[in-house]
Amino acid sequence: MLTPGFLYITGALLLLLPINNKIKYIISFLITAGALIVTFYLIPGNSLQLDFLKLTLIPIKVDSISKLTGLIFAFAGLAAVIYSINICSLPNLRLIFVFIGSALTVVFSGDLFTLYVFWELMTISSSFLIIMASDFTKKTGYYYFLMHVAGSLSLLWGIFLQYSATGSLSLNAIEAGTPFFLIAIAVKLAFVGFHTWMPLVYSKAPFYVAVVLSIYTTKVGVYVMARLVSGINILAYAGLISALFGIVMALRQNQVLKLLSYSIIIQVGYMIIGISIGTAAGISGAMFHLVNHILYKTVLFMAVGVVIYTTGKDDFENLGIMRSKLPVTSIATLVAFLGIAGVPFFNGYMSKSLIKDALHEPLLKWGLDLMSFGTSLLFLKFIYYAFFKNSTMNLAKKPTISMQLGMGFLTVMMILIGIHPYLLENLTNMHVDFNYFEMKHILSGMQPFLWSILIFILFKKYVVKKYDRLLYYDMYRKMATLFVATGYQLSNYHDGKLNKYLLWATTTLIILLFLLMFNSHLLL
Amino acid sequence: MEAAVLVIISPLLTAFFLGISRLYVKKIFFPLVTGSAIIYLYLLILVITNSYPAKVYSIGDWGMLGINLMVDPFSSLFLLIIAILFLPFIIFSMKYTKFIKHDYFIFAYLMIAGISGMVLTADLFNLYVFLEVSSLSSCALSLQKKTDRGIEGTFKYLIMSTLGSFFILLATILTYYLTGTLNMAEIPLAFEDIPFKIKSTIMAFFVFGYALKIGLIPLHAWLPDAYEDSPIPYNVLSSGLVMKSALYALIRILYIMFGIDFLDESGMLTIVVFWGVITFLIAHCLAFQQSNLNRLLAYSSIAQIAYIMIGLFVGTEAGLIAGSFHILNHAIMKGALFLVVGIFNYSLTAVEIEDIKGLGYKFPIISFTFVVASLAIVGLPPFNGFMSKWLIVEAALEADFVYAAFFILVGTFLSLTYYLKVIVTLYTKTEEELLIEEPGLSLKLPTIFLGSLCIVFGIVPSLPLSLMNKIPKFLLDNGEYIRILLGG
Repeated sequence: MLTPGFLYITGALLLLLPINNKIKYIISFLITAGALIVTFYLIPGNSLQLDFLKLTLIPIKVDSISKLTGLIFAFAGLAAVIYSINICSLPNLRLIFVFIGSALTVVFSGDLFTLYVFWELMTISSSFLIIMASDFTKKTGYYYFLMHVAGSLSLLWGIFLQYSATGSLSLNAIEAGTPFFLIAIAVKLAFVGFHTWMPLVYSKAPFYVAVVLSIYTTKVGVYVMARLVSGINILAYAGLISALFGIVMALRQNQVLKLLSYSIIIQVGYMIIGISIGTAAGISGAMFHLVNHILYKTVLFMAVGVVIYTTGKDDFENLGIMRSKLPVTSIATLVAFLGIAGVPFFNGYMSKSLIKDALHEPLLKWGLDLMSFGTSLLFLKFIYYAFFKNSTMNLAKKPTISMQLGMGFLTVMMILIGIHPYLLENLTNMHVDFNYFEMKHILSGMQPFLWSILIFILFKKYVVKKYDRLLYYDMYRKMATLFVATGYQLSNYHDGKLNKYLLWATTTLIILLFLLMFNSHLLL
Repeated sequence: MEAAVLVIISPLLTAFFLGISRLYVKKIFFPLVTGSAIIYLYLLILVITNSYPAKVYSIGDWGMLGINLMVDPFSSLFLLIIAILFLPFIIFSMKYTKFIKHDYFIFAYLMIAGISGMVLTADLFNLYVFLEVSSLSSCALSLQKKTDRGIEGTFKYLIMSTLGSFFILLATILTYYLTGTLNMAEIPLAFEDIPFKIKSTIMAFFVFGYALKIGLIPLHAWLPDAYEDSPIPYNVLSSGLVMKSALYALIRILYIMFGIDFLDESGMLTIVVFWGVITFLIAHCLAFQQSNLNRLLAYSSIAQIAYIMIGLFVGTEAGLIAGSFHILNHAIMKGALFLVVGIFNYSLTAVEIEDIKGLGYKFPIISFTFVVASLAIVGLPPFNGFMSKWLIVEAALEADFVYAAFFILVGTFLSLTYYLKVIVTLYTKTEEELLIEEPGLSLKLPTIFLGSLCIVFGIVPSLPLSLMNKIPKFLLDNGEYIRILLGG
């Protein structure tokens, strides 16, 4: 059976051939469009079995959740590849293909082994994408790689525990080793405390890398969470805390890409809350939110990318160029803004109200409103710089057609979902009994947005202020220092003196004899 | 039947004729070295394919008195490693060695003869003799560069290795004194009456002697020193075969002579697994500190050997399969890594990590091989190292060594820290103009061959595992081995 992930990885291999630009375009377009079509025609319920050593693997298994996620992944992949095809080099394009391919395979994987292998392949390909992309991202890539491998090893350990407890690798709810699965997912979806890689990578890496990474990395985490550890109610509060942390941090940033990264943490907070409720409505709300989030966040990243491409920097001041010189980007940004702010008749509204409706605890409902309010407040800052502040910026170069095309695709999709929210339900047969255009939902959706406008106007000088860079405490760097210091101490003992070596050897022999003479079961 | 005997004899003969040709006909040097390597490869394949069911060859028809050779799946695993590494080693060395070639190849063939003797023999004293042949020629090879550092490192190697040999010989003599026989099949039968404590002591001497050659921490110290300035292709054989053959002998002695029950009873399994965990944790910490590529790879070898020890000493069928698989994989991965470093060393005399800055863009394919091999050795999918580590962890969990399983994953993370450091340096652009001597195809091909095996064995692990699956049968149940040896 032809799977979309396999298609992408084949594409990466095809790109290894010595080819010219024209064939590169053709291959890329065929693969990305082909993957979208293949995903569209996958039938829920299909699966494929494969024997590998003693394990029975299920490299593809389709159900409505994975099909929905796969569709948006394939669609965004098409847009992202079109967007970046002229900017990135051929080796990077290969890595992007491997990355997207493994993300798609994770989504359709039916067992934990396949899931782990492609989860790790995502990490490897994205890390090399970061490392190879520019001269300034070597350290960032190093940090990212280590952090994600730590996460995936935690996943692997969880899988081992689950496997030895139940003897099966099937992708059901987890019974053993849940904390390790949670750590792995937390690193992937940038939960507060595990998020340190995200602002670093997305602000330092070239913008097209940030676009591609932001589509898949965190969302795969969300998808796997929905698959493996849904319905742990307490996590809803964790999601809320993570989101509130995201709002506070996002408001302090002076770099647009960092603001967008922290805003991902907020949006992922919605999804965590939806998944943690555990009901069908909550989970489908979260998955719809994943779709909408990919759409508007990718457009925002792409728009900022255009600004960086044309002006060279991602300061807030530079956003001003949008209004005067970049019409397509402006429209896309506006639509995405209204979507992310949750204004009725735009796409974010639909999933936000679904999640809100599925909630029953007043504290969480109130928290959700606060999150919507915060989100629209910080994107008002974005909009203010883009459209209301006078700017005297000039275009250094024009954005390429392919960039605008990629952005346009996603914008059209956003508008469609906004006007006709039932589109997503019909596409995947995930029916939730919900009337999006009922007056009470519209009103409750509007409220946080209106409040945020009011607050923005009243406290504008605090919101728009340039804050000092916050130097925060990074636990992981401290741990790394400890590791290096230990190694240094140890290596000092090894000074090349032969009598020392002989001393160690003798000591070892004595210890060995000692252990064997007294029963070592008791000692070790 | 002669094939197995020829496996030992033919490299010995080649070494001899190489010496002759040096004196008289220098022209036939090149055809002799490569020709005999190719014939040797053919012989190895012949023996490996006929290794199951296990066979015994008694030389000169002297029965139990004479020398017996035994081919079983575990020894054919080592023959397989020789088959994979030896020809690439010869081809690579032909171009790489700028010093006197005769000595180098003579010692290389002697070493291979010693190692193949070790893995085939079924006699304790022969085992010791072949071990000495391989260790001494290995010392001689590591000296070949004749630089100050090389000489110092080799001296330490020689001293520590001799200390190890001393204890192995001591234990062999004690065994002979107690049992009156040196045949591997007769010893376990005679061993049954020996008191527990005395057996434990003999075992301790064996373990200590071989651990010195294998390089478990803190007996490892000679290893990085010896690797630092030795010919790099030799390092491939050293970490892939010399260390492993000592491991082979240890496993053979412990599992056949003492038997799995005794190992469990005396607590040897617990001790070695614990020792292994300590070893790889410390080795990873130390590897991160190294600035010399050879030393870094040496520490990494120590750590990988520790993984293998854990696999082989959890004492289950799955553990033996996993450990054996990792022996093969480590030989391939470390071989690829050392050969890449060898190419860098050949082209621009690079030894430090700093020296290889920016080479990722100058040698795209070779650097890619390095990336593949290092990700494999770290243990990331979809490469071969991941498969064997998966099996080791699974086996450790099955045998209730939960801490060992957990720390293997921690070790994976730690090993990524230093390999990634090298990779990042490899792909950091530099302004410096580099004087590069173009490596020819004879340097590149062996490297790429080993690198691609990393991918092949990662995606189709059933290929080598079909051989490994038969290994536990002759190790876990020493009765099987004894029956075949006595019956033959």
